[in-house]
Amino acid sequence: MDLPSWLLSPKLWDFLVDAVISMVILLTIVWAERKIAARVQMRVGPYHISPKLGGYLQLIADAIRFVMQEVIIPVDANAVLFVALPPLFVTLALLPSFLVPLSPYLAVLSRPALHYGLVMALALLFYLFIIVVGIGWAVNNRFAYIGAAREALMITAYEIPLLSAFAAMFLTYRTIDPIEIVSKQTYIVGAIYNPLAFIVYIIGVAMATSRFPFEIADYEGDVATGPYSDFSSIFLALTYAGGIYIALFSYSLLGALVFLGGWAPISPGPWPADVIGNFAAALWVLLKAFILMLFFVFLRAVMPVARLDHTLSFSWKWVLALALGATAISTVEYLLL
Amino acid sequence: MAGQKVGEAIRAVLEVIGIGLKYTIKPERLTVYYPYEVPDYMGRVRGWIGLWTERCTSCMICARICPTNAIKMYMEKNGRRYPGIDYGRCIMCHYCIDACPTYALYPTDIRDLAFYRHEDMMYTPDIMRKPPQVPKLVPKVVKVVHEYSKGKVVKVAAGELGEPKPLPPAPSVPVVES
Repeated sequence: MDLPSWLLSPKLWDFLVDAVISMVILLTIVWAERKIAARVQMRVGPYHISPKLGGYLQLIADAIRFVMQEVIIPVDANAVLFVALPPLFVTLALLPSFLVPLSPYLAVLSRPALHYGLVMALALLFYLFIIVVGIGWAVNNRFAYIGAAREALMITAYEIPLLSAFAAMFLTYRTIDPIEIVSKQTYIVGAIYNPLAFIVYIIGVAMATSRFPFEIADYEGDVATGPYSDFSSIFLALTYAGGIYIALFSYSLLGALVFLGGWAPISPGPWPADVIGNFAAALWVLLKAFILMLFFVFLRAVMPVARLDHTLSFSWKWVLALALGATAISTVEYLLL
Repeated sequence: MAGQKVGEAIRAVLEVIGIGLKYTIKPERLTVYYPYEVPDYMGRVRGWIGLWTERCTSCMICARICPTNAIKMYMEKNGRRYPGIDYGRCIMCHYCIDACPTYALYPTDIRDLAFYRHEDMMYTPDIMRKPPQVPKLVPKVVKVVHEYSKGKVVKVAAGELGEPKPLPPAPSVPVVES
């Protein structure tokens, strides 16, 4: 049986797998976050909708409610940015996951461009939270202003350590090509090559995606969802309820490739002959990303919220020192390995 | 962070993650699934407040003692004033029952009060005479036992939700002629 060639295009299948599974992961991770927090706090969590599934469909019910809600644009807000930035936020949050391969042959980008996929993904992710500042400006509300200012301060706090954690790993692997990076982690994963860089990555992503204990820009007790104040309906679903989690997914996918070995034990062959193997590799990567995301949302259950000045001093004193240490370890590995 | 040793901070973070994992795997829940199961209060509940208008002397002590000003005196056809309760404001403290000198107000254990409209919460004296009809939604009654020593909650099935208890008989005090 001859299949048309476009049906076996790896770009198409990478796009489909990434788009569909990231949405499934998004649904599952929000449900898991609420269930884990409820368990630790001796509650039940989402239950009433689909009790037999443990309330799994609650998020779909919420999404339907968000979509059917009236779209309200405040009079004082900058209407163009207010409408344009939330879709841009989600797009920029999901785009980095398309720039990295899910298996050696499943990739949207092809070879010469794919070498720079990881760096491009990181650059997009660092642009992402400038959009959050823009959202806070567009809303024109004092809480949104405060949240945006906090987000801007947080960007300075996590960007340099996070970037240097990834840079340290690139130094260890002597390459920025994601496929070669994974092929170098066949026996030892990156988190064991350079544990300091992994710790910096964990802390940096927790800061970048407003996970606890660094949920400072949009902490409801302080600033009433921060930059996303006055957003309602589909806009709230695109930013606060969805976009942040999609950004977390993109960060976790990068972390799974760089620190957790990607598809390392599974080595699929060329694409059309080894379709199942490639899908298995993609699922293995996505499973690692999912486990990383589970850890990040688990922090909500156990961590308090840190104060902004504590976080900044913690970041500039300790995380930056850790990142420098990680770079030192990587330099030693670069010279020895 | 401030004034804390680095080792202490790291140990605290690891410890709290361990505790969280323990509870994630083996949760100890306090939840009573309320609409699906009703806790057995064993009669010790402050519920809907009934009124015998024959006993009421219109002394207004109940209205004056009410901490939320939920009680209002309504003029009836016989020219006397009787208390009516706004359940949108009532906090079920039962001070009015305690204060009533002639036992005209009496307590019940009807606790599942829900209203569709705000106007339904206004109980005037003529409707306060008969208790509200509570629909029998959930038959499952559980007895909740808190074992504080082990930090656990044990739920024991306490049978079906029976018919509401009959109203208490009128106490034998002289009835004021209306």
